[in-house]
Amino acid sequence: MYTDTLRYTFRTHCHESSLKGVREFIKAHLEQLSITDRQKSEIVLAVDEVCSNTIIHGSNKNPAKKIEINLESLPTKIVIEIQDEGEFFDIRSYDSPSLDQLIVEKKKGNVGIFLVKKIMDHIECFTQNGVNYCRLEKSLVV
Amino acid sequence: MQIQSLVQGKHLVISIVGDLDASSSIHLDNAIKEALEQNQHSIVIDCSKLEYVSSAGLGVFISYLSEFEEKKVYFALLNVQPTVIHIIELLGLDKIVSIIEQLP
Repeated sequence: MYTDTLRYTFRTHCHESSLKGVREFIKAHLEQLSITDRQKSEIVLAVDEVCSNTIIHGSNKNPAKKIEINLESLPTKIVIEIQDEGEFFDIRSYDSPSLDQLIVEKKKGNVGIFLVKKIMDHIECFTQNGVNYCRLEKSLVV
Repeated sequence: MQIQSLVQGKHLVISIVGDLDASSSIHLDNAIKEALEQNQHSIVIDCSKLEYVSSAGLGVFISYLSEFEEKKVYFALLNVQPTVIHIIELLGLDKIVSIIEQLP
């Protein structure tokens, strides 16, 4: 049965140097869709932020560990699922500090999750059989 | 990513070429730290060839804003590309940092 659903997978090592490849994978597949450049750059950013978090904090930049990104394009939404086997972290439970707070505290991090939550319409995180899943959804319905 | 610091008149211009992400933001951090150690009074980031920025890159700017204010250092982002400006706007950083099209 034809369902109008396209699914792509990218697997790479848990290392910061893999992030460019992740972005190129997402970008290449989003290019095929009728969405604005702004939407494309937002989705690329959100995936990059989740993968950065997973690679740096969840897997301690251990290249022996793998991260898998699945992109599914449906008629009304884009679903990106990030899988890894590092330490589980539910980004939904994280309260991002305000920009003013970060400036005062001279902190370099902590804004990535804020951006992910701002960009994506639905976020789901769970762990099953030793594998962590972070599912990001972006609606294409105006 | 490539990064280069060059004095242009009264400004220290740090030019970034490529992507500023979690793997490369340390280089920008070092360049700004060095500029402050040299007591530069004006630090301008040339973003004309900056193709992508993530929170790690923006976080470097954020972490120095208090110090710029304390030391009265002029700080601005020069010639930022539309997709990068959009990311800066998502964070609300455009309301705090000067975004310019030419050196003052």
